[in-house]
Amino acid sequence: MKSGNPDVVVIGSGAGGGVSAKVLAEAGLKVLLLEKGPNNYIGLDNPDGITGNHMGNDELKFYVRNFVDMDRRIEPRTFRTSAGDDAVVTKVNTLATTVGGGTIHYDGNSPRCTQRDFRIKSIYGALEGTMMDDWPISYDELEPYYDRAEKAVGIQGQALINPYEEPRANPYPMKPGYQKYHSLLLADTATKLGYHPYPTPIALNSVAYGGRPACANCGFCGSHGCAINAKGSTAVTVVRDALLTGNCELRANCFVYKLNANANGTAIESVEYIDPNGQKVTQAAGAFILAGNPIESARLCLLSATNAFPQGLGNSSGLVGKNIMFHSVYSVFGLYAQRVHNYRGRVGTLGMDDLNKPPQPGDPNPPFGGGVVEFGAQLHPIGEALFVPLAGKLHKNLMRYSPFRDHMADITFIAEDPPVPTNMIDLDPTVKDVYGFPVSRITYKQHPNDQLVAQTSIPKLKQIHRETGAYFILAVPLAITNGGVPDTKHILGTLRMGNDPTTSVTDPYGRFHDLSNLYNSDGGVFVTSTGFNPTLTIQALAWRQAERIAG
Amino acid sequence: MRQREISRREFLKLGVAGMAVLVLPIGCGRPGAGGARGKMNREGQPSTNDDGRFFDDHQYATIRALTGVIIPEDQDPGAVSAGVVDYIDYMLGAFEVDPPRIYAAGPFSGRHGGEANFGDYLPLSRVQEISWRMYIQGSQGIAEREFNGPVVGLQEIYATGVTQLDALSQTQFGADFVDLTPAEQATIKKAADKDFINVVFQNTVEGMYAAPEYGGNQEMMGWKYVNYEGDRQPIGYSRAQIELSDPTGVLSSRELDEVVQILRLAFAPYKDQLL
Repeated sequence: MKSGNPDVVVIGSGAGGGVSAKVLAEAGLKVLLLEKGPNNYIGLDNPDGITGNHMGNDELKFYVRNFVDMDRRIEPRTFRTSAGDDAVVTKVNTLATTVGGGTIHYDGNSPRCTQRDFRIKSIYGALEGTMMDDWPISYDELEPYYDRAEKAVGIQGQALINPYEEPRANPYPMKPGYQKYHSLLLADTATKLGYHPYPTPIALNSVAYGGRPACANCGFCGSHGCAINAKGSTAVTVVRDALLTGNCELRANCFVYKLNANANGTAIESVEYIDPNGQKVTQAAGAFILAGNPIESARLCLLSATNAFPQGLGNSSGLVGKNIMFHSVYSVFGLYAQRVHNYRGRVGTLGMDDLNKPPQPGDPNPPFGGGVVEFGAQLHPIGEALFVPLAGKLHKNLMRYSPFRDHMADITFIAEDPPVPTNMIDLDPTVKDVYGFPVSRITYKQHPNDQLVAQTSIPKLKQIHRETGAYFILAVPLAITNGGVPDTKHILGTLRMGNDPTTSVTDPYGRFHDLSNLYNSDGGVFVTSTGFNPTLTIQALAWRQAERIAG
Repeated sequence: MRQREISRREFLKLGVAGMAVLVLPIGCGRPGAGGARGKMNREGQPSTNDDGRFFDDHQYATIRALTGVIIPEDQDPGAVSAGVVDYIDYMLGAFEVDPPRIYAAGPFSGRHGGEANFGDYLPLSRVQEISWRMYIQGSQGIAEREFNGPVVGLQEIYATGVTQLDALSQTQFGADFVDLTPAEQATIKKAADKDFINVVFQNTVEGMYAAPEYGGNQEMMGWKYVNYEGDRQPIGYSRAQIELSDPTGVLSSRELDEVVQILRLAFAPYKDQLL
């Protein structure tokens, strides 16, 4: 390694990469953090506090104009449901492209997974047409890292209410904030029906924490960057921590397009990226961590193919890009006479895990999987008007009532989707991005089991609305808002971890089996999609991996 | 990647020149009467910033009328009163000012405390600028915008759209679109190019409900009639505003029936996807 080169290059500053940078920099390693998108903070490295940001309660800027979301005009993707079809250019599960990545525009929901989620094959058995497997790690191994991540990003929550909660060494760093009417209304009924709602663990300050203020409940979490830094995005927490050590350099607006391996393909020597001015730069380092997101990380391996490795780097298993998972997300709406003003406050303040518990005795042929249930939503007027695109008098009537913003209470069901090897990303043969490189082509179709899970679960959620007194109930797959194409913001798999190099891409620490100094710290390593929002698990895994790298 | 041989400033000029060449033959000059147009919408309150508009007077009047068909006036203001056409005009002329009028700076508007910063705009990154110039101006044969082939920009879409609306209006009713009755305009809207109408619908919705700093939603008319408080930072909402149902606006069963009717209509195309 040449002097002056960093010890580690981290590619991507979102959920995983931000944590990687912090842990490595605090351990004394020199880290270069490359981020494709802009830095929308001023003074992120100012020891006295962050000076400013470019966020705000601006629905046009965030929801419509992709201020932080990946811009599909310059970074398109293509989609098809099976390998025989032509892929069409469309929006496919874009994540924020900015310092902080997906943690800028996420709701902040940060549940831990349970031991059940890591032992899915042992519990349910095999599932036809899938590569369903147990994870090579257990909840107990991950618990200390969940604990560290919760403290670093600042999670509010309340332990010992949820009966399906795994043991915790420590309480949540912050108590829950104000409850939301929308959530209270539905959770009250759920409790009467025998379910077990609990305060949703969220990366939002309920009190001043980490030098950042308490949440003002403005109602602009989802899709939006937090105007006051109360959301624990990686930008204002772990990336800032990394920068404050003096050991981490952040370079924004840098797009990495190639990994260069040594001659025999056993290690990575350098990366190539396009800098903010459009110039190509080659950067050597001792180790490299892919943390763009599972689509972009797999794409980078494939873009790095050479004559010696025509399948792409790290791909001796042939599994790079395979087994992509998005979760199957459903919205079950109930119409109420009273206002539920879901546009105020956090997205949802209560949820329940009752539909994610292992099968009970006397429960024959249970559907594989299930998932977390959230009582809540957040929608603003442009979103409502585009969700229900009516013109003329009907538009005025719709908007005066604004049902989806003001009178529909939403139950969101995030269901596990299994790893299916034909669900994958590869390189599109014709479509390019603004940098001139082939874009990701996503091939994805729901497994029949997903429909089974929906069929058994949606009626239970409708019942909650009926018992609450809903005037009208509407249940839809989330993909309905995106022409049937997944837009769940949960992207998992593609670089799955395991002990066997023939059935996995990375080892139990997220290091590539084929390459001694290449790691993945986004959701790519997920073996199964689990029944939970993935961010905190990505962060815990990244932390565990970084400690290993730092020795 | 292609090496850039011209400076950013020269590039900006080229982009504008290319636009003029593209649009002038179909009747677009630089608008000279921006202030007067502002008055047409804002009843004696001239617009605070008339730099960087795009439409000529006829295009402006035509699109203003079309936004009025999409979101009409009734007991509440519609797109014409709320100045939605000004939003569209400013968007199409975004690159006439520097930084371009794309992303308001934030984080606060000043409406609920904090320093008012929505009126300032953020400079774009190199690739963001490519994206927004592609979208608004089209690719115009410029290589870095044509990585997937030529792109028709919004300016051309609007200019062509106005010409076609008038051609349809002349054929059916013997007059330009702006001179038709609202009922006739609605008929022409149904007959017009669907892609064009979809673009105008999307932009009309944006201009009606976006923060007023972007030029539409004037005097927050779009927000007020839907009982919406808009941007609330840094004050946010109080505990009571979060935890209790706001007693204003409880729907009667007649109103609930009306909502259900609208929802059934809106989701009819997705009937087989409902669960």
